[in-house]
Amino acid sequence: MKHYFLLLSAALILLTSCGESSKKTYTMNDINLTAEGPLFDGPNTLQATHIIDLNAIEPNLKADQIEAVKLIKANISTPDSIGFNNIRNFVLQLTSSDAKMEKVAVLNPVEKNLKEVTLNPSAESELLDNFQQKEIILILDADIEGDSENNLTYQGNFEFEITYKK
Amino acid sequence: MKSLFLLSFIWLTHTISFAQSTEADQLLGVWEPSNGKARVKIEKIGEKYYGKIVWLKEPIDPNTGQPKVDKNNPDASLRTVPLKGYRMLKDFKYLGGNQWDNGTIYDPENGSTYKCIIKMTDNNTLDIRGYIGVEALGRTDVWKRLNLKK
Amino acid sequence: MRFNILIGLTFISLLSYGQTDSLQQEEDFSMYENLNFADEGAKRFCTPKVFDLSPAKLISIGYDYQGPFSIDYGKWKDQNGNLVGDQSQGNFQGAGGLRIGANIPVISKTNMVLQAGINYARTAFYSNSSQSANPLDETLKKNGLSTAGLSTTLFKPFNEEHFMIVQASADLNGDYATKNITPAKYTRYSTAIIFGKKKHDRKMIGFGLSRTYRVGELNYIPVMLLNWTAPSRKWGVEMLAPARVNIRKTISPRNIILFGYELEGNSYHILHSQLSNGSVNLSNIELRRSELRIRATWEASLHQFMWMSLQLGYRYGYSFNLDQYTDGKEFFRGFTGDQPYLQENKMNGTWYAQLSINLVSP
Repeated sequence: MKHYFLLLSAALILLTSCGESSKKTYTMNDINLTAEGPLFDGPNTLQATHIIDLNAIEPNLKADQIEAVKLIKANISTPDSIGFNNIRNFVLQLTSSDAKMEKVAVLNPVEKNLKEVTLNPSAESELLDNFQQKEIILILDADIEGDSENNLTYQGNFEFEITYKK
Repeated sequence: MKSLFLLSFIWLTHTISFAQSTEADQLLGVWEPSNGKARVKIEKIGEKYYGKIVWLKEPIDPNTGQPKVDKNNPDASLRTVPLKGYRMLKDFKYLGGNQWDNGTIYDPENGSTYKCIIKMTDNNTLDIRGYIGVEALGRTDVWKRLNLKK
Repeated sequence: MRFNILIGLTFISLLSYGQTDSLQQEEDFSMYENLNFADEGAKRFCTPKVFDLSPAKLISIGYDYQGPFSIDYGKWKDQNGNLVGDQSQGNFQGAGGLRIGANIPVISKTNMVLQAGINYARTAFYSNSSQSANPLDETLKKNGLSTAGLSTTLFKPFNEEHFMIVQASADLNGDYATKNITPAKYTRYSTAIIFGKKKHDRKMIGFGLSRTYRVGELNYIPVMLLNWTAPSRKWGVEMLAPARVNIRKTISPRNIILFGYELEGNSYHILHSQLSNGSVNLSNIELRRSELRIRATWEASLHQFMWMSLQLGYRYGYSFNLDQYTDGKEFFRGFTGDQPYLQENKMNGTWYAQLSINLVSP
């Protein structure tokens, strides 16, 4: 009788813990976002692709176990001496082949004399569909003052909060 | 003989899909909605088509004196996104038959996003239909293609 | 040779099928000022909207309810113009019913917008008393009034500033609920034509003429259209006078309040014009019903395109007279005619409320 009770308790615990959600942070570091020159005064688009590594969140994690994804941090930096002095604003979007483009962060205006800025993440955008694809495209729209013949590359570091079923 | 057939097949399918790709890319370019208040450039990211505002007839908000921003966005944290450069047409895929579907159109005037289908009626004219639920419950706006002045 | 050509062609097509992402070349934004239509004959046209206009309803389902009121019934006139019958009063605990409608754009082009609409409104009259002194009172209590109609609206812009609006509707109105619907030959037709100007996105103004039953019976009335939004975008006017005038307060793009009035009316064919005790038997009766509703309306988005509208106000009875045709056909009285009414009645005023859920147009 005692064995049956123990087995039942164990089964119940297992069942309920299977339904529990976990939260982990997924980081994308040193992403090179690039726009090819010539660049002109106004919004220019820098982009990068990233292959999602679900194993970095949890070994053998499957896409359909993910329940919610939110951007919690977006930093853009540049080694250029002028920093972001010629940037009026940044808008960050994420898209992929089978999910809708989501606007995830904005910084308007961009302050002067900075080489690293933190964008303000959207409180409501949901990236679940994008993270269930293999590859995502990061789109950084930079409103640039003045023209330039050169390519432009900025580094991005991003953190996402992933909620998933174990 | 077999390898010749296989190569012909590969060549044919690639040519057909290339032709489709070229047909789909007819959407690329700068377009003007019927009210003439903005100009939208349609570009391709990955395999999908997006339209961004590249010109506004009245770019400055008279209440703030600053360039217009997305002040009616239901997501309050995105209300500082500038309208110049705003991607108001998103995620369109080419269906064939001069139609692009599965996309959305955003109206910055009221912060509403509608399902949208684009039909190219001739090389310089688009029927952009924003709708709710079914295509019948919507409104079509006719956009005309723009070129550089000669 | 053929084999080599095929290999070459395959290679070329594979190459060209590669990257077609168009974000390779950044653009000079200053060039977007200097663009022309690719079609040299293309023209720009004005649109039927101004900023912050209360949203157009694609589908509407609502309920209208009026509080307690009385109707003062007059005597009626026989074929010689003599007064017969008794003056009396009908007392009602309330009146109300379903109001549903749809208005869908069927043609949407730059140079023309055509909408088709259908609507239905019912008014049941609630009374504790089953006794009736006259046929109108009896049919109101037993059958109520209904109106069902089809309408169409054409917006035709001529250029960036000038436009024309043509509206036409056909209504079947009478004392029916689900049975004994008014025969089609009693359909009432209304129409209006307006010529106007839209100087900018905050103002459109127009003048025209209408053939209308809003005053209860057929009349030809000049109309004025004004849709105006203040530069602050907080206030506006939405007017199709004399039928409807509203002053709008925009709290946000999804939340507005309107103050104003509307003149509602129609001509109803009364089929049940016999008293059940058989003592009165009239025929070819037409009820000229018209109401002035002064009200405040709150419209807000519940979720995306689903809006709610709540209206609270006072319903003033403008006309509730009966006419009788001598030959079964509509006659024109207008403002100057002196044809006598069959029965002159007064519907006394009361408060009312109307709540509706609406699917609004993009």
